[in-house]
Amino acid sequence: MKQHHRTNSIFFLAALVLALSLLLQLPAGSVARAADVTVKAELNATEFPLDQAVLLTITVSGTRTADPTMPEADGLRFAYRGQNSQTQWINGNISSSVSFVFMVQAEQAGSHTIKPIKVTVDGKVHLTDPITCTVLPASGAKAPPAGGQAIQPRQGNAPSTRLRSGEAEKIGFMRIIPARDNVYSGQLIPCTIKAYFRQGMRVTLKSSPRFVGENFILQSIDDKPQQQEELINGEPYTALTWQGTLSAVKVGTFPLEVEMDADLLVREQRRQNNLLGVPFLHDPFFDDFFAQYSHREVKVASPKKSITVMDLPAAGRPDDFHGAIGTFSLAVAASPLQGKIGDPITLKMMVSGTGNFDMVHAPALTDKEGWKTYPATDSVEKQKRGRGKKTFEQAIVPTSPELTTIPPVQFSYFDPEAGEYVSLVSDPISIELEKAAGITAGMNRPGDKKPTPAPPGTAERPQPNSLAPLHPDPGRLVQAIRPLYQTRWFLLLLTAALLCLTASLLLYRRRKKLAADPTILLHKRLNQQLNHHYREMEQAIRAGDQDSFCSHCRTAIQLRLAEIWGLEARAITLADLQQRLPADAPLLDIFSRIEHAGYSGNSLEQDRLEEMLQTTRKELERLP
Amino acid sequence: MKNKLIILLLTGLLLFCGVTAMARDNLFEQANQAYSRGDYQQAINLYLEVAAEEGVSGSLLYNLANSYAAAGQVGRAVLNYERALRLAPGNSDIQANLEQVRKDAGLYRDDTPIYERLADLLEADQWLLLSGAAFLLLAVASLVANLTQKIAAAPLQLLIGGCLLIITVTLPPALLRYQSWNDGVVTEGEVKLLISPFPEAASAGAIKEGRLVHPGKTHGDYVLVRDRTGRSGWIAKGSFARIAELPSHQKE
Repeated sequence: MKQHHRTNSIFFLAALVLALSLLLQLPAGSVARAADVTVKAELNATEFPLDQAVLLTITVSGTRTADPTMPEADGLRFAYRGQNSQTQWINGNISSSVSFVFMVQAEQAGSHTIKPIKVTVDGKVHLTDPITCTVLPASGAKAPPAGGQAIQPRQGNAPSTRLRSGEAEKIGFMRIIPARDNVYSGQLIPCTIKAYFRQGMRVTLKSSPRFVGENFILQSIDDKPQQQEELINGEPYTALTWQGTLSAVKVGTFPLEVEMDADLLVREQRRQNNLLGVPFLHDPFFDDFFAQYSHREVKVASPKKSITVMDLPAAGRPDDFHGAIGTFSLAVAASPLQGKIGDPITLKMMVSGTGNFDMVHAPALTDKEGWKTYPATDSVEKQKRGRGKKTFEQAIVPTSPELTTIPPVQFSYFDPEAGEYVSLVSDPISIELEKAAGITAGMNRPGDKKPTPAPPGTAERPQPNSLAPLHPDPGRLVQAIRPLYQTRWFLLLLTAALLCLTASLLLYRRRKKLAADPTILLHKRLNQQLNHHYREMEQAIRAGDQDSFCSHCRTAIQLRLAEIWGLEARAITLADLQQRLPADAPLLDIFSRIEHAGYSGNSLEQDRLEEMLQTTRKELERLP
Repeated sequence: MKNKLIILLLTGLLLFCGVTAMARDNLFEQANQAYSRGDYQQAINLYLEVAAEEGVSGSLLYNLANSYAAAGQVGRAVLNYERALRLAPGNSDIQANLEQVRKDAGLYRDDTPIYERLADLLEADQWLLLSGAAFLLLAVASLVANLTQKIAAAPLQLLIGGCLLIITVTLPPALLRYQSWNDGVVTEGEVKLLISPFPEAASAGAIKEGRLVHPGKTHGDYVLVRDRTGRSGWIAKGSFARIAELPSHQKE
């Protein structure tokens, strides 16, 4: 039983290995990741008068195609107004979204609930949260209150027009608030950009804010503005606020102006003459619901703000200054600190702070004597309002046994607040070097031939004599580089192994099946008993013990015949044999002689015993 | 008459094969000579010619990589050493020169997890070969045990257990290493990692020539790659080459 358990375990593990080996055939990276889809529905105002409409926007993120199904809603009517989609690529990740816009009109005042809206994306149904809104009695006002920023589809291709003087106060305007009015060329300045729209206007933003002219660059800006209500000259406005950074391109005094494209949704008055003469079409409800809306593209702009751009001072400019302006800090680490001459050390340098990180170059060793340096790689992590950090990794190789420290690294920048250049110098880092046995790469030794300067781009060229020699023979040529599991011989090997394993499994199952048959088990046990009696008979012959011989011989015959006849072995007598076996059967003769010897006390001939044993064995084995 | 014709055809075929092999060996020999006299560009061209006409081998790619290394083209040298290792895993010459070129170019490996360092002890094919051999031995031992009905015999059990142990130990690193079987090598100098697949997109850092990158999705002429340190970004398709894909005629 224990053996069976062991065998089971072995075959289980073998099957596991088989499964793993089959996994190799699967193409790597074939697992597709399902995009996360989220749906959201929102009204631009949750309270509105009966005679006005609001916009319902269903935003589906994570896809560019979706199919919304509007629910039945008592007392509310939905009119489809269009859709827009957006795709963004950020750090290699694609994010897509699509928005569906519906105009919602109420039939009666009171509280209404828009049930969850079904949105089908790739056959899967998503539900939005229910939305509750309150419809107030009719106000008589014509312009619907846009509590939020309306997102509406573009219709027509009306040319964009800049708002005329006086119109800006009625519709909207912008403002830009830089952190300072005097800046240095290249300096990154945080700025706040605001767009104001009169409450009640239906406005769709068509672009991000941008600068007018080429004197300033908008380096970064929030993806989404913050929205709030503000009172300007006692008038309520919806204010959108972006935080960003700007930089000046050239020296001088220039106007700073920001503008942005927007789309106004303007309701046109319906014609009063009812050609059909249907009286209920004069109802104000239909007047509003069937009203025609037209779009007008406009540019909202800020007043010009004068900014003075100064040049960086030439005095005190460090040699390693590369244009970094701001306030920075420097951190340096190295590893490993123990090693041999010629072993590379990785120097990690992090410059963090606020400023123009595009102009932050890798800090340099203040003393390169005894060091072989390689170009540094960099990675930058920018945060809002000019903050960020830039990390450099540089491989440096000690080539002199006298070195005990990594020299300080230096990074210089211009501090615009202080109006002066600042050089950050790190502390030296202690190292422990062992002398390398043999020749080390890059070591300058006395008597060495000075290498000729390498052309640009080939500075790291290894000398051929530092490489292992060429191979004189091309060897067996192949047409493609294939992994082992795609080669024919390996697949044959695996197939052979699988065949062996399958055959082994079949054999095992057969053996298990046989072992489970009770008749086979009994037969096996009988054979074991017979073999035991044969051995005893042989021993009795050698010992000259006739009684023992007769006893074992009788038992052997009884056991074998009992199996065939289905009787109890001990119950089989000479009479049974005489009755069931032919008269000349050798077994009958042997059995009768044994019985006779036992009853009469006569001894059998010693030299016949061996013959009797062989005959007994032969005859018992012949039996079916 | 018929027999004579067959003999003639066979002789012609043998002669053709012999001439082709001689021409190939001749080109290869010429390439080796060009390398020896310092004409690395000529050596590169000749090796590429052999590759285009006859195919590639570990030794051919190794010699080609040596020529690129000597010519100062680190990225292509690393690329072809990696390719050579795919065809001749464990070759000490290839491993040593690849290490030397990386060292000379400052392409040091960052701290990698211990399991990756262990997996790097052998090439993917070597791990799989060990695993396959153990699997075959396991299957044969199992068959023998069942045929002889001596499954409980200690030596057989020891053998089967040992095979299972070898398979368990060697299969995971093989799978791990095959994941990077068709990685790429940056073949242009100081390639910028862009945050979006457009030329004017902002840079998220730079990646050195000769660095290994794991390519992912593509967009237009750009491919999203991730290097061994986990940095990712978009680079132009032409600025790197996949290790397991031989470009048409190897013209690089």
